[in-house]
Amino acid sequence: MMIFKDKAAQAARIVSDKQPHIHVNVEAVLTEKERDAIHEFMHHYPDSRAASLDSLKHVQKRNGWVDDDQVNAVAQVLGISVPDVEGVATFYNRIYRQPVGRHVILLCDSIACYLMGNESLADVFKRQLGIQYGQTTPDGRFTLLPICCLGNCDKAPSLMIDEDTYGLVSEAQVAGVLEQYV
Amino acid sequence: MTDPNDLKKEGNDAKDGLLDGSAVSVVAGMAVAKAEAKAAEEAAAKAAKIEAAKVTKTTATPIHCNGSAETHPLTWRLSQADEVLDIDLYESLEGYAGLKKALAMTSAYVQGVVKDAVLRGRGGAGFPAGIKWSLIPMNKEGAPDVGPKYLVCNADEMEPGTFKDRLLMEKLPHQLIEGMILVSHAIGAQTGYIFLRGEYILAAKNLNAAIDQAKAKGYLGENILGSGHNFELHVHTGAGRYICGEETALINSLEGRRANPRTKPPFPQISGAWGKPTIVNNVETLCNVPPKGCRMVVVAMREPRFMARQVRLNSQVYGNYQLVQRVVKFSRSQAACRMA
Repeated sequence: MMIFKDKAAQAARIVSDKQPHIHVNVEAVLTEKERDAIHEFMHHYPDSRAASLDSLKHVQKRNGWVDDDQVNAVAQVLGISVPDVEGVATFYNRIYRQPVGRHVILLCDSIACYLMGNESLADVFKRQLGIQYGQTTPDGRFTLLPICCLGNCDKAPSLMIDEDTYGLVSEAQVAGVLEQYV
Repeated sequence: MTDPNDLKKEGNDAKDGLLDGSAVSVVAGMAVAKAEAKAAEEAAAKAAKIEAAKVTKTTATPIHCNGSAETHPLTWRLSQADEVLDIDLYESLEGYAGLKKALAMTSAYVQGVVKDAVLRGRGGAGFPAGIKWSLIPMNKEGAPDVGPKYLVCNADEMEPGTFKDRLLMEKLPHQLIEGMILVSHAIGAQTGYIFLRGEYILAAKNLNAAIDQAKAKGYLGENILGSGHNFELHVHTGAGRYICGEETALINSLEGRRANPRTKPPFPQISGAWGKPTIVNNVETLCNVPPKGCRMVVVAMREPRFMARQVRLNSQVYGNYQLVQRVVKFSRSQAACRMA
């Protein structure tokens, strides 16, 4: 978990009903492309709220995580309340509400991968990166996270970096895999 | 506690019920009790022996690439090509043939055929798909219009050790799309969503490409193949939460809410997505509809009773099984085994 430097910064992150909605300048926060994409998602559903997850995922592509302004902007474009968007953003594992590294490593720790050596593989990752699960390397390059079954059990142990899935990863291959991501 | 002998006996029963020439395999479940584990291990070893014997005969051919439409209704096309992503290739392999036949029939008739075939839900519960569909309100002449209905494909495959849907979506996306169009016709839905888990990047890409191809060919959109049926299909990708695979949680997630399950009743068939009648079916269930739709119509004209027996046998016997764990040569096989 990230530790906030001061309490004020922490308080600003917590969105509650008591807190008045901070209206942001949508044009300043979201690019035209992002706004177009959100409007495109809204056409897929009878209700604009349904596009919230698609929108958050799309917005997240820019920085790797979603900040408060972006959540507010998405809520304004969709025409729903900020806590509603915040509720969706915090519910799903792969919407990040705090800074992550440029690349997120997701190590599958479900039963098939576990039996095929996920733990020792995770140790290699932790040693090479010098971090534990849930942490980001000091240079901001990698974040290491566990994930439930990737559905790649026939190629266990399996892992995912950004949008690439790797299977049958041996401990010797870790360095080579990491090298591909700068 | 299950007696290991009982388990073995069940395995033998399953073997007795097999069709001639079908592949034999046994699901090696994660048995908690030692006795169960031992029995399962023996059964798996036995199955592996048979499988191994088969593989040596057909060198370098994965087991799922070595079947006919009769023995491997879902994966037989993979015996002709490594993957069937192109719509022309799919059509040349009897693709969209079942859909064309079904569109010529009334919705009620299609529902009836699938009901008679006892096509069981492949999400795990095994609830007959035909009965699920029959609970959805249908438009009747003289009665007011029921309004929008939704068909949702549950592709949020997240159960540890499960990857059957991944194969079907990555290699045979058109089969799922054909199944969904066919089912949308049977239940009168105009909009469909494939609720895909976010980690299946390739599946999302292949499905979206396949949807575009199907649209260009007139299988999706307005007045499909001149039948008067309209159907729009969208891929909705999730962002990782195990609970989204639960039917009502999936609907909440689709609506853009936190994916907490809803209380039942009302059942989704009456009030599902956006309060409208909704059918949620697993990928494999939907994939199972077209081959049956294709085959059963041919047989139905000739000998209805034979058809019922044949199709019932198929739908209850065939399933998609995955073997994991130190099994290198045959990671996926469509094995004949009695469904629990």
